Amino acid sequence: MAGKRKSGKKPAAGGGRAGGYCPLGDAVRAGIRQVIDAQGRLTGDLPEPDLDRDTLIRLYEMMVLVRAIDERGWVLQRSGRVEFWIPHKGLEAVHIAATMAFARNDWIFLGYRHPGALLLRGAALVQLFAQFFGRRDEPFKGRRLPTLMGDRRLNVVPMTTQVGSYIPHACGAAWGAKIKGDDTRFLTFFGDGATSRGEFHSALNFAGIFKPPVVFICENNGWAVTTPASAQTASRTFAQKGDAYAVRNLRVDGNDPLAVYAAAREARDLAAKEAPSLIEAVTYRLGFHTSSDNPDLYREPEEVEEWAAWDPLIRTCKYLERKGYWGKRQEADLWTRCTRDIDAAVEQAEAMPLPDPASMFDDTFEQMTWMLEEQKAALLGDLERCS
Amino acid sequence: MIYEFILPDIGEGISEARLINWSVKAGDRIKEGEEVATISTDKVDVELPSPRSGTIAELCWEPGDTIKVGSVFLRIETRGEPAADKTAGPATTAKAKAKPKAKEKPRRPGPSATGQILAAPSTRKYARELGVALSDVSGSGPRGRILRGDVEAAAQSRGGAARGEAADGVGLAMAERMSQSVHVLAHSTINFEARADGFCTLLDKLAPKAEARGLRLSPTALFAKCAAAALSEHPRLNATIDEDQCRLVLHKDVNLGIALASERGLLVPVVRRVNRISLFALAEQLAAAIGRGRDGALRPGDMRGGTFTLSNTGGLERATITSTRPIINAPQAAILWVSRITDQVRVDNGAPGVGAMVSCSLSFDHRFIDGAGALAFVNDMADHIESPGQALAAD
Ligand SMILES: Cc1ncc(C[n+]2csc(CCOP(=O)(O)OP(=O)(O)O)c2C)c(N)n1
Repeated sequence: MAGKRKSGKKPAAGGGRAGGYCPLGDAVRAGIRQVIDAQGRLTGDLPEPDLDRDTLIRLYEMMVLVRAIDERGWVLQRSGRVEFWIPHKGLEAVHIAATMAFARNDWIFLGYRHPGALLLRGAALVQLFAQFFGRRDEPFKGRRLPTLMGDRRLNVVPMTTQVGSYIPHACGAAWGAKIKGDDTRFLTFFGDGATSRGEFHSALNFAGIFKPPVVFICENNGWAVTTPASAQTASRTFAQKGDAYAVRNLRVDGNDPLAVYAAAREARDLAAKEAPSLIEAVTYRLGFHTSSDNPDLYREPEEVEEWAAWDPLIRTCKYLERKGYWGKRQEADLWTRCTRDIDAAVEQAEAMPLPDPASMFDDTFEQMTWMLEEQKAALLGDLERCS
Repeated sequence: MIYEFILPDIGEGISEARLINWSVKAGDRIKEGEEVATISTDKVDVELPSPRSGTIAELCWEPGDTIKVGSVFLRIETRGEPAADKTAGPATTAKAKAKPKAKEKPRRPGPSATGQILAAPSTRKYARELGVALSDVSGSGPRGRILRGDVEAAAQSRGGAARGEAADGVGLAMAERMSQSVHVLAHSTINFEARADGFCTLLDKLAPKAEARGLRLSPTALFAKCAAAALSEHPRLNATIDEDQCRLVLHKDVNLGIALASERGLLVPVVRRVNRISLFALAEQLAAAIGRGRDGALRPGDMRGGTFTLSNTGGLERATITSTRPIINAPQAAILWVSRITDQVRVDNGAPGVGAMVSCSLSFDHRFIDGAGALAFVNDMADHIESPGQALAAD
């Protein structure tokens, strides 16, 4: 089941027409809430959210910037300047629209494909690139895998790398806020693969009982490394897993930022009224799982092509054009601006100092254990010998 | 300025790649991000983008070549490319310099090359428990990695704690505590003898009374009361060591650890407030603790909180033991060993005679207790053994 999926096979539940890979063309039948179609037309079952021109443009500009970051990150990794890369191409709409639907002081527990959340909160581009380059003066002091980003000053919690492990953290933090009686809401992103972890179920069970102000967004991007969503669960949808725990749930078109925004906005409002939500955002990872992956070994190029036709950037751009908010010139300017800003951030971040190797032992235990002390001494000895 | 494009590990743990083809030739102008070559790794065929803008100065390999990660892949002349000149910042330059060096020696040198000790954390902990220095152990694992068995062998050849059998919880705890005590505390030992005639007389007198209550009165119980009396007079020996603060913490009550040989190894249950309870109550608690120890029913809490340890090996002796060098049960500061009571030839009032004698050895931590203080305790302890009535005065 987990093997290579051949074209012509029975389409996944809720699958669309064409090759049967992408259900977004037949969203209603698949129970996927939608605002716009592939051409940016208002054809969906969800009403168009009430967003002004500036906000819509900001949304789209962020999606483009985030796409441009992915393209640059990939090149930097392949040319040996960044150690590792986790692509997010095709997933921009989910985290950007959802972050915009939440208030500035709400807490976000990130996955690893969500740079837009930080940028929307005001993090500078150079801070992100300093993280990618593992430089000393970024919030994690250059210690984390590139793209495992966050910033506590911005109420954005970085991912703990164990898949799904942080879902209960988000839930528990939300419960804490509820007990304290403050009005903060909590948002967390995780993948389809994470729903097979016990932590997902613990957190949803807890949420169903104690009703903390939390919104769970399951970014169903079709794959968990090499495992297709069809082999991840025998349930019809990931959303319906909420039913087991009496957690309100729905499926939205994750490549439609308007649908994501509408769903996240409503969920945020309900979160304060004892109704946490599980939103399954149906989307697709157009890129590699990580820079260490090779998707040619497990998925069909037709599948990628079919989903690429539902690229959230293209759809949003067309929607904005239809509204008369956007045109070819703005589009070209935007890309130029993004490239220029990224160039500057790359140059600045790469010139920043690397962390002192000995500092990797800091911030672990309040008092360093004998084992760490030995390791530190051994490392310093090695470095001494090598220099 | 020449920028060296070092072949990166593009796939997490890839050590080499094969060059499929070049997409550029020497002299071509190239922009950062444009494709320069296709390489093949065991995972994937990859198009490599150029890390810098400039002119291709040198292609260092031929298609078909297998190239080690970390080798110079191609050279780019970046002069006249302002962005590139700057981006080749200090960190990048350092990296480019460091890499060719890595090429000259194996990527992961063995222990001999760097002197680095390879051992798993559990092995390191084990070595620490057995007091084995890893630097003295030769590893039999891959690349000289030290395995658990290597540590055991080293401990054995040193005549250490390892017995060539898998240590269980009790054994390990003992190994750890003992080696730590020996390595940290400044052990000093005083051996002495005491006349035990009065001691035996008293025991004989009290035995029927105890029996009437269903108790068996052991010498250990009476030694414990004697020790409690002497400790009350010399509180520095009834103490625990606070290593962090480097000081002695004195205790009012005597919580006596009683060393107990069990099938599972050395156990030291603690009988509390020996200074305040009667001899019979003590005998009762002692019997209970010994019973639990034999049944393996002692809980960790039963063995915590001791302020001094008494070890009476009388029940185990056949040979005549005249002295030992007891190891202090850290964090306590002192320990007293007492032997079996035997009849010995001795001098009584200037004439040879025969009488009951007991041998004793007191070890104390000389960092905190000086010789005079320890001797003062020994004097009084000997007195209490010779005339134990006073030790029972509070009863
Ligand atoms: C507990 C755990 N198991 C395995 C991994 C290795 N791993 C990293 S990402 C990943 C797939 C996660 O899939 P999904 O949750 O769908 O998120 P996606 O990567 O598709 O965004 C796996 C298995 C891990 N990080 N943590």
